[in-house]
Amino acid sequence: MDDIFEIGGERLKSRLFIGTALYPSPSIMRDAIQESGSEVVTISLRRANANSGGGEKFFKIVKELGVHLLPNTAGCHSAKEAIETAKMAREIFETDWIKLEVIGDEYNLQPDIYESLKASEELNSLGFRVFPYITDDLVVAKSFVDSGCDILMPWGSPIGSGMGLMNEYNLRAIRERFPDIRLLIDAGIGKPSDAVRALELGFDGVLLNSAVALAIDPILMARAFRDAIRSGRSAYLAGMMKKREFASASTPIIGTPFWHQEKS
Amino acid sequence: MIKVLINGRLESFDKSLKLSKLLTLQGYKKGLFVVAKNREFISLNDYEKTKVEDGDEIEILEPMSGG
Repeated sequence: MDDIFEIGGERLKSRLFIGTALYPSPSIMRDAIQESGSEVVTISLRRANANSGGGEKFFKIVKELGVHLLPNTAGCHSAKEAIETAKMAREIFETDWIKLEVIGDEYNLQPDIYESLKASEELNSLGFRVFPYITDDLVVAKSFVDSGCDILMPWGSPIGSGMGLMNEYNLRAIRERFPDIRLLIDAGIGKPSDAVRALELGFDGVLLNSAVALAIDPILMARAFRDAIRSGRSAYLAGMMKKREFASASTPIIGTPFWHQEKS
Repeated sequence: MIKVLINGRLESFDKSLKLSKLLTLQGYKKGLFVVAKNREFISLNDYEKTKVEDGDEIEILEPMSGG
């Protein structure tokens, strides 16, 4: 089944966005990303060392994957830092895409919505395609849409926690209220069933990193997530039955033997 | 003599200089990096005309893994 979706001006087949950090080795990272079927990877910037060449080696591997790059503003604590980081990322990675991430608290790495929103307004005005990492709050989501975003990335739970979807009600509400906005779950996905659930809720995709990179076998886990996301998406498109508070026999009763009928 | 903070390390130069010159002196030739001066992005096209003076902060960044 071809289920192409458009996001940030690109047409994608895979609804899995995957990070490039925390893998046991660069070759496992490469193989896991390939196995995941993902067409978008997240990437960041760090202080360079003129003599190490580490950044170039890493970037060569990523470029050879032939996927779209989604640079992030990880580590930023203010709108100003995020905006400047985004400008640098645009030059070096040659993309208008930016995963906007402004951290507001070191304990749970919750995004600073106020600073993020300021950055979002500015970056949208500068022509960036902003992928904002936000909390799962409906009014916050609305503010980012009003700032010019047509993509939102509410957290499932704190970054790297693996706690899955903490508040399905909030996520459902965002989906319900913004049917035309691209919605990705960013952060907190721990296992494939979390991703299935996100897609069943009607989310357009999932962005994850730790759940694959920290698995005992990241390559196999990448495949598990690839399959999970396809499964969740198919379930959403197929239309799931409504939950009922009573039992309802699935086997037809017409033609049942007389001893069954006598008992009823 | 001027002092410039480069990637968090204090470096001394005889006098103020162009950003392009500073990058060459630091061993950054043509390559994969981006630069901010005093926390503001400097485009590759502006290295030649950007002056680095005493007390400036220069950040030179390169690609790395990210989530």
